[in-house]
Parts: sequence; C-alpha cells; structure tokens
Amino acid sequence: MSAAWLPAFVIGVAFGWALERGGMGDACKLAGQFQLRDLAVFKIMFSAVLTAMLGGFWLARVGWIDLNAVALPPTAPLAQLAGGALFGVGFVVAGLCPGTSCVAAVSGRFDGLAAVLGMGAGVLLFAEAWNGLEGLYGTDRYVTIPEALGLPYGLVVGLVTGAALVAFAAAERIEARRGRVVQP
Amino acid sequence: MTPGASGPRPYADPYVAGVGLGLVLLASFVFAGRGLGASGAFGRVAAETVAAVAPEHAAARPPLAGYLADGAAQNGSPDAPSGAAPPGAPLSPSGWLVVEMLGVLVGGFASAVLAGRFRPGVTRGEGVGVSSRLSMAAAGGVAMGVGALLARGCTSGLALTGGALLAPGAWIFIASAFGAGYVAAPLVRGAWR
Amino acid sequence: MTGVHRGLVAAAAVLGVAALAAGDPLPGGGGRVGAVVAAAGERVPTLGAVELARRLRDRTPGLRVADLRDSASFALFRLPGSERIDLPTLLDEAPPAGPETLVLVDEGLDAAAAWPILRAGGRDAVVLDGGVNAWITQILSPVLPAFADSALTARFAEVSDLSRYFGGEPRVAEAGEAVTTPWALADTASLESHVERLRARGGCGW
Repeated sequence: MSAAWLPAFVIGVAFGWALERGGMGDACKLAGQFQLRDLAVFKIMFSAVLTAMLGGFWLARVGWIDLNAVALPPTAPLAQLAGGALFGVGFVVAGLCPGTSCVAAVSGRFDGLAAVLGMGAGVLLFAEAWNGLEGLYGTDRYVTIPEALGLPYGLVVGLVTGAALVAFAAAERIEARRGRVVQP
Repeated sequence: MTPGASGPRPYADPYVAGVGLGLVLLASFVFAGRGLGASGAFGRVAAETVAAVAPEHAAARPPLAGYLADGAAQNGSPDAPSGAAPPGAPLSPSGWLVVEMLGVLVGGFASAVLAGRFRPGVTRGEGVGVSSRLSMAAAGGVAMGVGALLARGCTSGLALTGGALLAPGAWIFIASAFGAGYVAAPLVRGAWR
Repeated sequence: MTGVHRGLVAAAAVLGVAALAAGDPLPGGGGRVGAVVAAAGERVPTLGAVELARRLRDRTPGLRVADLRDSASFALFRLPGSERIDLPTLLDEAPPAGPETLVLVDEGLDAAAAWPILRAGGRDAVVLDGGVNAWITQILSPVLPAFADSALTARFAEVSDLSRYFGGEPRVAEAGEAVTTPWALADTASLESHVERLRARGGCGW
C-alpha cells in the first residue's frame, strides 16, 4: 500500500469503527429516529458536527491549521433541496444511509447489502436521467454561512453550538415522553 | 468475555460516539485537508464498473465520465485507470473516498465482531417479511443514490463535513432530508412494529 | 445526565461561548492582516510573501520594500532589498498612487494600521500579508504536508525554487505532522481571491 493510501484507509477504519460503535449500522436505530422513539442518530450526527466545527474553528483560530485549505462542500440550493428530499425518503425507507449501509453489510446484515446495491443502481439511474436533471443540478458555489451573511465566523460557531445544546435537551425530553426504546 | 454467551454488547452512548465520530472528521480535516464521504465512493465504483463493461456508454454519461476523469486528471494518481503512478503520488478526490470506504468496511467489521454484534441476518420490524424488507432497503438505496448525486453528497460527505465547515448547502440538505424523512415516516411505520 | 454528558456539555458551552467573541479563523495560518482588517471593517490590499519573493527575484521595476519595524529588529533580520522607514516619515517617503509599489513590512499590525493613513494622503501601498513572520515561514522554511495532492505539490515546487533563491530550506513534513500551507495561498495580491481560488478548486469528489 503506497503512502497516499494509508491516511485515507486509517481515517476510513476509524470512521467505520465510530459508526458501528454508535449503532449507526442498525436500521432499527434510524427507524427509531423517524418514529421519534430513539433519537440516537440525531444525537450522534449533531455531536459529531459540533465537535468537528468547534475543533476546526479553534485549531484555525490559534493558527495550527488553515481552514481555507480544507475542501469545502459546494452549495447549490435548489439541487440540494430536491436531492435532500429524495435522499430523506430513501433514508427512512431503507433505514440506512450510504455510509451506514456499508457498516450494516459488514455486520452481516443483508438489508445493508441490499441498500448498497440499490445505491449503485441509483448512481446509474442518475447518470441515465442526467439530460433531464442537468437544469436542476445547477452550478457549484463555494461559500460559508459566515461569508454569506457577512458575520464573524466565531459568532456563527457560537450560535450553532447554542442551538445544538438546546436541541440535545429537546431530544432528551422527546425520548422521555415517547418512551425510549433501547436497542441492544 | 465471549460474545456468544453474553450476547451482543450495547451500543456506545450516542453523545460519546458522536464526539468520537467528530474527532475522526476533525482528523480528516487536519491530515487529509478534506472531510469524510461515502456517496462519492459509490459513484466512482459504479462508473468504473460501467466503464469496464461498456466504456462508450460510460463516456457518454457526464456524471459517470466525471468520476472517470477524476482519477485520470490527477496526473499519475495511483487510482487512475492507467495505473502508472510514481510512488507516493496523491489520490484523486474520489479515489480517496474509495480507499476510505474500504477502511470503513474493515473498521465496521472489526468493531461489530469485537462487540459480539456480527450476526448474519436481516434487520427488520415484525410488520414486514424478509423479502419486503430487502426490497425496501434496495428501493431506499436507489432513492438515496439519485438524491446524493443531485445534492453533491450524502450524510457523511455533505451533512457532516459541510455542517462542520458551515457550508450553507449542507444545512439545506440536512433540513430537506430530515423534513422529507419525517413526512414519509408514517408511511413506513407499520414495517417497524 | 451522567458525568460524561455534563463534561461534554460544559466543553461545548465554553468553546461555543468563547467562539462568539473570537471573530474569524486566521487566514493562512500565519497571516494576521486579514483578521485585523476584518475587525476594522476595511480592506487593506495585501501581497502574499510568495508573490513578493517572485517580484523581488524577478527585479520587478518600481518595487520598494519598506520595513516599519524598529531599527533593532531590522538589524536582526531584514528582507532582501528592504529599507527601514519610520512611521512618522512614511507619508513623505511613500510614492503617489501609480505603478510604483511600496510594500509595507512588519509583524502585521502596524503596517495594516499605517495603510489607511497613506491612502488618506493619496499614496499607494500594499501590506505584506503576515509581515516578516510570513516571509520566514513561507519563503525561508516552507513545509509540504506529507499527503499533498498534485496541485499543492506542483505549487510547492515553485515555492521551493524561490525559497532556495533566497537561501531558504524547503522540506516535506513527517507523516502525521500538522502543518499549514500559507505559501499555497499567496500567489495573488488579494487575500479574498486566494480564498475564492481555493474554494473553486474545492472538489470533494462527489
């Protein structure tokens, strides 16, 4: 294995490990999220976003990393609104997402394997339907929320942190009211 | 402890697992200069598969051709179709994702086995049979495949990575995906009883 | 709520509240001019250390490098071909707006503060982004991350040539060593366009 492969592979192993430890490869977890019984998926996702956002901001703020050199996912509002909606329906029907379906598959779950194969078919379907979708696809823009709103980056980081903590408290209340179903 | 005797161990606390996942994402920012991803690996593998069977068909489909050009454009990338890369040459963006997802398979498998959670079978509620559950998973996969390519990413590459980097598109995607998920949830509620 | 949860909430709250007042991440790691300017709400034209090095090496006509630091610092270390100018005499020394470029050098703060004064006097100047420190880190000791893509590697080759020309020692980082690559940002005069160019390169491979 050449040097270029190693970091990608190691990061992938850690990624797969973290997903499995949190139970993200279990379709019941995601079903519980959408039936408001077990909000672990929400808690994991947002604590991960919060950790990486705060960590990235502070490492950049003290000058250890250059946040501008980290590849920023593009923004294309209409395509992401439409693609997100389609993705969300698939998400709840499959009970898995692209990353977690792979974890499900290697945990021996055949529904994970079915979702993986379905995803491959979806890629091909997208390619065949490209002529019809090109207009909706639009063009990439690379911008951050602080840039778009003209606010200091740290202010947005602080506001997102506050919103996430409030949302975590709300999630605990919802679970307590609906009766948490603890998945083994 | 023997997993067989004690049964599968419970999953980690979600907040602890989430912070762990966030630290993996942060490590990716620092050491790879990019975030995590999953759907791009599916795109690359699907494109390479089509190209192996019907190269002209793949070349005529811009989304597939884009993934194929990705490896080739990274002049001499180890994952380029030509394969002739100098030692230590960098990976193309989608090649990076393919290697990363191979790692996910290994890491997920190791974690499941060590926690006694590797159980061949189908995860389903009582309200649905095995074949229906597999059809649902596959159909959901198709919708996610199209949705992720249209949105330029999935839960990993767009929602987590873009969410942490404060990309507006990531937050649009999160709101749209969860919103649509909650609208569709009652339709599949019976399957999870 | 367990003790672990309390700890995580406390950590997030402290970092989040502190971030409210922390402003923006430093552009280019070592470059502090952008942050200062953002705070002042005014944009000072900056020149990256790499671009300055290229212009110095190519002996670009009309280029003057003015060092605003005190004479002791200047004696200790100076940029090639630079002259020391005291802040009070700056207005007399600075060229009127025109093709001649006066580059202001210091640790970053004074030069950015001096620029509005110059402009109010109808003079033209740009500020070396990151000051003397940027020259030292980007030109005298640039570091290529262990896992760099081909674009970054190609850029590093150019920067290495410049570095050796000025007696620097470019090197490749150890695996796992966290490095910043401000030299990759610095090939145009405007900080904004560096960011845009990087973002346009973006490409996560979806």
